[in-house]
Amino acid sequence: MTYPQPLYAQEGDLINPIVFENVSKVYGNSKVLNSISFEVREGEILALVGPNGSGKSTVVRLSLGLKKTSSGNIKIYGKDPYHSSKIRREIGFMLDKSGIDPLLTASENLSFFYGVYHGSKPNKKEVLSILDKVGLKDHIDEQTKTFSKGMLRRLEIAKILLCQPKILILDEPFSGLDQEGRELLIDIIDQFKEKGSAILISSHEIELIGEIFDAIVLLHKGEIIGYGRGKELPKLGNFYEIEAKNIESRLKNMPMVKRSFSLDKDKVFIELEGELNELINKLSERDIKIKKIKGLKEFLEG
Amino acid sequence: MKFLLFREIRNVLRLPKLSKTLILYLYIGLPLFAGFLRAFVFKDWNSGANITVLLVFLWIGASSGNFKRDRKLGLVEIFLAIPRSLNEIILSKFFASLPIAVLFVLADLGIYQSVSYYYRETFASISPVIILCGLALMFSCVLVSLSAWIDNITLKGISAIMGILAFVVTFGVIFIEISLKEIFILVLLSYLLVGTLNWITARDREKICG
Repeated sequence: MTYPQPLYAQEGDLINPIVFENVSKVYGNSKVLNSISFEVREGEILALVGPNGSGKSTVVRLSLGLKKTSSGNIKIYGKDPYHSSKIRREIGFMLDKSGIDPLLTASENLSFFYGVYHGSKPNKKEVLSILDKVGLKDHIDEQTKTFSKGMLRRLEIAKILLCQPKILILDEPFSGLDQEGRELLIDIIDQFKEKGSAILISSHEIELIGEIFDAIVLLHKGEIIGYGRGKELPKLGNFYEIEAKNIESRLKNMPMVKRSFSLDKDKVFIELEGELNELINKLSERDIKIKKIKGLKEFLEG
Repeated sequence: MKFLLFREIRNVLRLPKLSKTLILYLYIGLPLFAGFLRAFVFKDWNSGANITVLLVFLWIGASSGNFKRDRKLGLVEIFLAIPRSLNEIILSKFFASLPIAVLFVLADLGIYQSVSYYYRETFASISPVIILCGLALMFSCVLVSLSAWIDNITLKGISAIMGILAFVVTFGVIFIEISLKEIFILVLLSYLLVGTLNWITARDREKICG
């Protein structure tokens, strides 16, 4: 079995926007993250993918400085976000739940966030233009408690557009958005990427992330089970969960299996280099009876 | 901090009608009733001025509600993720409550002074020390209320007991012969102690719940 190696590169003095170094997180007796390492570079979109309970939200909360690591280091432009409120100025975020104050109007919410990020009032014309862009121009003076989930999501997009942070950390950003909203968000993510922002997107819905990412980290029960970036970027269709008796030991010396990760004694998660049929044939040649094969989408859905 | 402060003030002004009525009742109705009741029982109209100070004892309820509301709305994590320190957040909550408190205290004060003048032909005395103590108590109320954000059952319990005790003692002075000054100092010190404990705990951001 090959074990995932740390993704962070040793590139001299280069400070990458987001760096996780052997980060573990323990709650009581439960280890939520187990020594994970990865980095997000400037102008890069990293997709953090995994089933529910895999530790994605913990990674997001650690990146935002909401939680501290049990061991290992997290650096946002070289600084620890847990202890440095200044470095959080560089981070724009969307959490899995709404981050909009329902007692304030749409424009007041935007002014509030712009104020806490930049210490001044935003330009009214700019606020209007951004609200127009996200389709909320007609709701500028409405209290957001009347907004639907989709409208709140759009307002969060407006918040990011207005504050223009260098880093985006987005937890399940597509949830609650309609198709038009998703396209808008993807368009905005692309714009940030072109400007050199580092973007971390956490999701368990791989089809929503599509093919926009430049690097991927697959999480399962707090461990990295699949990864890649650039030329090494794996095809999502090449990931499978295979269930068969003692499968882990019997997958050895199969060249089409690029990486494998033991989920339990009878289950492995693999990245294939060849065709699935080829693997199935090889396994049957070795008299291995496959109980179940799941593609990535099914695996992420649990 | 200016933007945090604006947000707090706007939020207080936009509370739903029921909460507004309740707060008005708490800040004007109860202290007035307590003040007049004490005055009738002890025939001591000078206590009317001091009883105004008791307004701040009730501050714990409103302050705690403010923190609880943020938690209920899921805004605590947002506050902690924005580039502002916990101290700025606490101070903004304190300063946002200040003008409203002053407004209500002044409203009550006018009535108490009128009553005092009517019966004794002199205004009741309010020293700067009382005002400073009132401000300190209000600030400690904010710190005690911080327990609404903290994931620590013991601290939450202590804070809740302090709030209830202060409330009971506050209204107890109407019926028992005990110095208002002593009660005030006792409550202030205990609030400051619990509030400081909360603040120290919350400085470890992880102890604050999402």
